[in-house]
Amino acid sequence: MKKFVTYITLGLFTIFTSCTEPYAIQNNTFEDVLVIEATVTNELKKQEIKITRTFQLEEKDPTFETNATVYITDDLGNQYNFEEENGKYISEFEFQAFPERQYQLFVNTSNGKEYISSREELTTINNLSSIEATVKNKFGVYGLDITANSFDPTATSKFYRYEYEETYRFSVPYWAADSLRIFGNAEYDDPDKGKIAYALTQHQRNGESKTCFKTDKNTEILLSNTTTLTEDRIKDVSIRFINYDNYIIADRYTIKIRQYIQNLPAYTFYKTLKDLSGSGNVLSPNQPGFITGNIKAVENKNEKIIGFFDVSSVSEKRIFINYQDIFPSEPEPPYFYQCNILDYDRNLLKEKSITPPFGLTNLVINTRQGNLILYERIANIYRMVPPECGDCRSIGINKVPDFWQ
Amino acid sequence: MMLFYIIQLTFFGFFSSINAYTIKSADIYKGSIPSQFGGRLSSVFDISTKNGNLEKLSGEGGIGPVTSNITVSTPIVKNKSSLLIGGRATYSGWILRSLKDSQLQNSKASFYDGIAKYNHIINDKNELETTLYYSDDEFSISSDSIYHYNNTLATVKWKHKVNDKTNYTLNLSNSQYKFDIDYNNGLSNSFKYGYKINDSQLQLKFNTNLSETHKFNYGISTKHYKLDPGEIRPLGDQSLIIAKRVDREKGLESGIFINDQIKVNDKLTVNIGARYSYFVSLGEATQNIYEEGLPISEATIVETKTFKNNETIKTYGGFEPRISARFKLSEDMAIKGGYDRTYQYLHLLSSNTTQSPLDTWKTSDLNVKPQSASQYSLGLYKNFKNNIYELSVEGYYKKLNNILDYKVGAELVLNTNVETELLQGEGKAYGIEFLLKKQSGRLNGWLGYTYSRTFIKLDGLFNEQKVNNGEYFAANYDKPHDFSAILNYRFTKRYSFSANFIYQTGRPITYPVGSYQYGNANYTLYSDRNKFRIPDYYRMDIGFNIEGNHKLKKLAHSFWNISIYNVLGRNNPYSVFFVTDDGKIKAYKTSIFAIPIPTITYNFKF
Repeated sequence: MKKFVTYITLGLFTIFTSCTEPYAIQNNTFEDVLVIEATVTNELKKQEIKITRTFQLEEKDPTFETNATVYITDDLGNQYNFEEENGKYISEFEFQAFPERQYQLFVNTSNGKEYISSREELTTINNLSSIEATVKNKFGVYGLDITANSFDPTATSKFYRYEYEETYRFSVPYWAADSLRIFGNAEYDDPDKGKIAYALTQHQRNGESKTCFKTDKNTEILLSNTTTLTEDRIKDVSIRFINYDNYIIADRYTIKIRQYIQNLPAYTFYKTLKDLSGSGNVLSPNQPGFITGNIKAVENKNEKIIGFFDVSSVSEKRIFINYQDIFPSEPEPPYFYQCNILDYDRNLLKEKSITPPFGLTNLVINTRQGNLILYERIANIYRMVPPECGDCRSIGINKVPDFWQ
Repeated sequence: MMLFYIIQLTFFGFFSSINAYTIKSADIYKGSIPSQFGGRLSSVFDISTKNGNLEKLSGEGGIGPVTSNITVSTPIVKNKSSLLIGGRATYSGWILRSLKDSQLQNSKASFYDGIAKYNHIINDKNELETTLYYSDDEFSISSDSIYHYNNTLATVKWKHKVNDKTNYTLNLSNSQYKFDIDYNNGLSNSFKYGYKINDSQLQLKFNTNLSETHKFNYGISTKHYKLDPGEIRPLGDQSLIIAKRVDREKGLESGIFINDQIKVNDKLTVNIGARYSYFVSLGEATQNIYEEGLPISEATIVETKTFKNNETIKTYGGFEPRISARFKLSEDMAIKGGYDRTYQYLHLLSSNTTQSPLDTWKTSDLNVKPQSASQYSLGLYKNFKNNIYELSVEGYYKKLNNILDYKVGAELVLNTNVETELLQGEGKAYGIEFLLKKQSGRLNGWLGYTYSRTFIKLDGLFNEQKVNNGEYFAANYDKPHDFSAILNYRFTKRYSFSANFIYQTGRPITYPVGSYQYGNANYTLYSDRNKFRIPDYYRMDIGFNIEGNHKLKKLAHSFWNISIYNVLGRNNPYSVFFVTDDGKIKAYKTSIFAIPIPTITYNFKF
């Protein structure tokens, strides 16, 4: 009998219900942490260090850490001071890292805290031997694969990080020489007659607006290592893959690849950062946690500091690519955007009309706000397009970059 | 011991892991673990099933609208052999489908298990038992995924009496635990994932009662593991998932053990025992060799070695003393103390960053060492009021070595070089457990409270070997407070009431605590590992029993049970997890049975 009673809660069952709901991430968990991004290279230049702070999960941009004292010392007693400039710390003078010298970063923030990095040495100097662009079919996708090649006969490089900066020339499909201006004000409306007091005039645009240039940088972390290879050789390591129908290569395209040689701790730092930022595999996200770098607070050893003081040898190469040369038989890729042309009839515009999208109000407001620009005028018809379809300056810049060939 | 994977059985604790009607005894060894058990650092569950009735047909069971269970036992040859068959099942599908809530309609759960045991007394000296067990547990929390657990177990046990003083038991068993996920949303990321663990064990155990003062048990055991740590395949025509399988791992874990129970005098009993365990990691396998002095990582692989089938990859061994003593302070009071050392060669890798916790297993090998523990325990036991009340207080301290945990950024599932994601460090665990039982009277039941902590320290020369700056932190399963109560109250001979209550601290979790910009992208900043906790778990169930009248000639003795599960309607978290979507991190909580659930069951016994 007693046994029955004991098992009462074990043996008798009911139905199954489950529910997954959003769970509020408590805001009071926010941790204010200093973020130091410092890569010093063997290039003779004004070196840069970026110092920011963490920000709330629902925000998008960091705040820059201002009024900090930033300098780097080496084991010969040299000190390289940095000055704050446009949200960055730039070295006062040009300098470069030399092999076998030890460098250490010091940051004193305006709240009186001191931060010191470990001592770092320049990594092996090993220049990119070439970068290549090849047409490939990769995982069923047809496109342009841009790869890097490098070789270190001393086999001491091993850990590679890449950055790229790509610039492309492009033209807008619905360019016009003129822009449309609207004079007048809704207050001059004559409600009785339904007539309006707007005047539409055309003016020639200032400056180049048909063909522009745009530069983008890689957002993902690009790493490669040669530890399992028989020699320290980077061979055809893919840095950037562009689908054949991506408009960025439709005209002329250039990419500059920078190769950083890293040491194992720096490589591991970036690798962990990369692993954690991805979504893991389809089954399970990766183990979350804080990624420790090589910068510590002097006072409080447990204070978290994000970042790695990386003294890296770097080399770079650039190539230019014309669409015609690599995909001679392919049609020109479609433009970035689907461009809808809106036609406004001037005669009808005399009538007060508020019905979008062809109504007067719509034209006036959108033209004044810059959401619509003139593409062409055919007699009484004003053909309007969004600016990204008709004025390249809304996407890129119209100045030819210095490096453009 | 043999049933240890079954403890995994889920159904969210709604079902007990094992069919209560078929259990003879279920012993939990936490304080001092006898030397005949090995392979686990924590507590050992020793479950033995009932033998069938040798004399007459008998049975018991319960029938309810959603679940039922029945156990029947019959003699085959009277007083010589018997068969016991038991089964349990839920059939909740029809209730879920009839619910209006679409979310609940998408939930699905089914569970069934069955046990068959044949017991044969061959003669005075020989007895044979064979047991087969099978269970199948399937559920889905969302409409596109189905989780599936499956256990099979077969044992043959031969008991032989050598002479009046000595007998032995030969035990051969095989068990298999299988886990699968079917994820099918009709899109390119639909997949089927699974893993499997299979072990075969042979144990020979002797008991020799040399005299009143010396009782020995000793023997040998060996267990062969076959692990398939994970496999993924595309599911459906649209799936672009690339099939992947992590190679099978094999190992042989053997042990030799002895224990002498010495009755020093009427007051003092001492157990002196020891076990030597030995593990061989076996091929066929490939194993990476990593650069000496550097962290094990994909960036430090020096070479890859290949091992042939059943070739020895690596061996480990450990001496495991097991000592305990019990001293009677008075007729109703005793103290007990013990020291144990244990080794664990098989590792559970558990990722709790997902909606449904995802486990996999790993054997010790070239790069993963066995875990070990040394435990000291001390307990005080006292009975009151003619043994109506029993009070016990037990404490323990445990030192752990080579405890396994994961690097920041670790990817545990389907990783062919999973050792590069693991860290091994020191741990310590301690706790105190209070238990008050009242065995008889109108009001009976027990109250238990445990305070226990487990901490891990992961430190090293390199950043990637450190977690939480190399300091001790709460382990994934650290749940400090655990309170449970079971109370039964009998109003009359026919009516009784019961209630149980469980409270547990929520498990630790690593939280996103901010964002930062690095390079040209934004990243999530996480707290120290396990700095926060998911909400606490508590649940109360109540039940009311109505017995049938006590006519002697009734075919079956029966009672009705009306009970409410989760009467407080507590929305207990089953999991809390984070999903990064479009660069934004979002948190989700899954709960199961968040409403009070009434049920009625008809129970009978014949």
